[in-house]
Amino acid sequence: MHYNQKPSEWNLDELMTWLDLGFIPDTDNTDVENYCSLMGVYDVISMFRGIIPIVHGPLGCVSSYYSTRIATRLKEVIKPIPFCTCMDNMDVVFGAIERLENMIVEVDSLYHPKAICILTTCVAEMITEDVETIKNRLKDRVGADIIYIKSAGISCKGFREGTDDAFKTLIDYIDMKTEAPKVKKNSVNLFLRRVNGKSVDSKMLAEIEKLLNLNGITLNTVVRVGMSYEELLKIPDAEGNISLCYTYGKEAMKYLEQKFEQKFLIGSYPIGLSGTFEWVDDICNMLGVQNKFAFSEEYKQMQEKTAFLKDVIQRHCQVKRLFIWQPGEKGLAFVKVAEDLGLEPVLIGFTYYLLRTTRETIIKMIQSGRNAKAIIRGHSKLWEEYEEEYEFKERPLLVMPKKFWVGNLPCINIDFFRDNIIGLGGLELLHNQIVEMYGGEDTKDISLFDRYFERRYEKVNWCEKIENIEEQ
Amino acid sequence: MNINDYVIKILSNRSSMYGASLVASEFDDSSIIIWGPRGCTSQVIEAMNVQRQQFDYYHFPVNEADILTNGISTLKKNIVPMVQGYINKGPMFLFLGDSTQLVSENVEGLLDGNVSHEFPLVFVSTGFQDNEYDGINETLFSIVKRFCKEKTKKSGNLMINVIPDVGLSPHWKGDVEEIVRILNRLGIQVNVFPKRMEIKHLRQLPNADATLLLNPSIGMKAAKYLESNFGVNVIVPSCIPIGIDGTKKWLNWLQGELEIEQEIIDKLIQDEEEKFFVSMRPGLREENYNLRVNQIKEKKFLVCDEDFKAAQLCRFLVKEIGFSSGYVYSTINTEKHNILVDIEKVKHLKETKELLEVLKEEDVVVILASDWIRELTDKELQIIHTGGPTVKKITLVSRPFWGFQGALYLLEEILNCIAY
Repeated sequence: MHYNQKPSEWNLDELMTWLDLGFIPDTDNTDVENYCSLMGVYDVISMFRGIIPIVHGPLGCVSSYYSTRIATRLKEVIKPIPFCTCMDNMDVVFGAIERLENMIVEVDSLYHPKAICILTTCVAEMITEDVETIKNRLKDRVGADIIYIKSAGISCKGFREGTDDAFKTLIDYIDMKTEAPKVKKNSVNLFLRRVNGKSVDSKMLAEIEKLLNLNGITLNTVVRVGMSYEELLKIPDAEGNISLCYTYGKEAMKYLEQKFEQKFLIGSYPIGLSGTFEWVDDICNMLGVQNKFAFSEEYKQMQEKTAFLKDVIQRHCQVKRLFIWQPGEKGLAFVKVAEDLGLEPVLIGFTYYLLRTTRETIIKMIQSGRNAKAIIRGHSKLWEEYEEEYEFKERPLLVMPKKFWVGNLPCINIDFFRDNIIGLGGLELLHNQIVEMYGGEDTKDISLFDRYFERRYEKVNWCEKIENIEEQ
Repeated sequence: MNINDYVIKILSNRSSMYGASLVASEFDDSSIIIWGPRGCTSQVIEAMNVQRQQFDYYHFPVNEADILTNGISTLKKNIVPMVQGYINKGPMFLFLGDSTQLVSENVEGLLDGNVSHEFPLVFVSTGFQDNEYDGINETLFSIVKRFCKEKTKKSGNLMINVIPDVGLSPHWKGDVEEIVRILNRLGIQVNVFPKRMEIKHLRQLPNADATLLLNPSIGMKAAKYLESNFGVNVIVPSCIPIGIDGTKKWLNWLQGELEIEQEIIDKLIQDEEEKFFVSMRPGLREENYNLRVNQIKEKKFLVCDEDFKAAQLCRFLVKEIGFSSGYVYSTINTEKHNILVDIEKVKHLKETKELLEVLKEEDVVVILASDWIRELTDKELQIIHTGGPTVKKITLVSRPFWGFQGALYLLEEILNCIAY
């Protein structure tokens, strides 16, 4: 366990040098998404209305992943049914290819999908199940197209590589189905993010559409949970591709550039004033459109809100640093928020693997002069140390997801599945949280603010207090 | 099997590695090593979520080369330093994934030669072929085999080991606490295996007078090992203490098995029954209660659980609460306890299509099941979460559904369902 060591602070450029020299143990199992490629492929293929995945393998490969990740998506958007051949001991000896064949025929006749995607697991691949023959044999018997993806975990490909493979296979399929793309000027496809199908999606999309429409840019399609088969086939019609989370969409966007010569954007999450401005500006540059965002009413509102927040923080609190917990693409975007608020950003709890996955975004940040401090540690015990350390010093401000935080430091708590953090709506959320924490402009009575601090942050030994009362 | 059977199988079953992880995560300061491809972690992660444990597992990824050539040397390279540096108080579990099991890696041979017999390593071969019940049973057995070496002393008081159905329902911890409370009231000392046990507690298991299984499908192999090696009798229940009558029946059965004085049992039942009715009144005013109970007669229920538990729940609903009719669907057939047919007014849904029809066509008001059943229909369902595994809602409930207090909570939940 690393939490016994004291944390050390580094700069992003130092970490990148060490990463390139191979000094950082960024092994696959330090990834927060520590699943195999099957789950990555399944995650993507189960997103679309009209495409049904069938897993050829044991039950355990689907049941736990389905219940924790797929079934938690909004039911209104899509309700994928888990199909699996549930291979057992006997199947390892005799194979279960007939069952797979029957399942494909049955799924086709019951649900009439446009495409059925067969995903193979370790067991199926180890006993060399002949899926290709089944695929060819069923070509004329079923109405759906059959797509086959080798996705066994023993390939040593991880969850993220599985996602990339699934997108590439789908892009090949789209290419096969498309005769000549009808490219719409100033339109983009948007890849949302890895965990989507949540209630916040529609709020974020509305915000993105507003930002793009200001410059006459339209959304061609949105690659997300609930996307239809027909929409998927429209992907080549866009002029470019953007991804809300760059690491999620980057390989797909690069492959689309190869296949359909579509441009793509390195950048993610328009959070905060400068973050949103730069994101819009980058898209405009990519498409060769003039950026009118800086002259818009929305931008003025964001400027006012940011100035207000900066003022609240400077006048009411002794905060100098903004600690950003487990910075993936979202966390890195918060570096710009820290700058907007006049705070020093510190990226904390950077897992080794995250450094590798967000490499391109970090390099872009360093190039733009945002060489933030980073602490590579991945355990919650760290916060307890920080809490002790900061008992008599300045209080840091934290940004972290709601489900993780159990301590009592002032914290911008975000539920990334419900709270919109991007654009003007996101700034509104930050505004409410910071004002709630530190008191607002209209909270003239500072004693109230002090009492709030006393109650909330002072450590109280209740057992001792009760004992004293009992003694008295 | 048709396609719906497979879908329900996926929703209502888990792998043996999931079951093994449910047990492993019950030990404080333990750790899990997974020897298999990265996807195996999904089962461990889900089980740890269900048990509300912080993720603490190591994973050695297995690749094609390991499978084809010499994976065991990779395991050796990783496990030896890990064993040397292990400072945790709890056991270290080593789970085998499907592909490593498939190529029959000689892990036991490796461990024999490289890991000291004193080291608290528990090896469980959790492959793909079984469900979570087998995983739990195998792990419990491996633990007992690993740590129970001798019968050290015989305590004066009656002491029994209780094996609960670890992690198989959200309220299992509450259920065990209620059972322990009842047994303590009878003057019985209880070891709950494996609830929050340390290694030193595990070594005490052979000292008990008997091992009581709360669910006959869970813990038999471990209990038999204790019986054959240390003479600890196995007590297998004929019923589960669900409802007031069910608990009374269970207590009377226990009286016969453990030769407890009938007077003590009668006194306990009288006390607890009184407490039950006294506690019920403030929560449910009599007129309100009567109104809702009258409504029950016209409503239908659906029970969807493993057959042994499902039978007891149906009996509670029909004979104790007064439902006039209902349906039962058994998710796991333990085969030995085919008692569903005994209950009149309850239709046993043997086919998956019958279950789907009931969900689609019938106006079922009370559903005692796990939330995976929601995945089968677009209707909004009122579910009382009595079984497992869970989908979406990953949480443990401290309120019991078994025993006298459990009867109260279960009744409250059912009447609340009627009210809505």
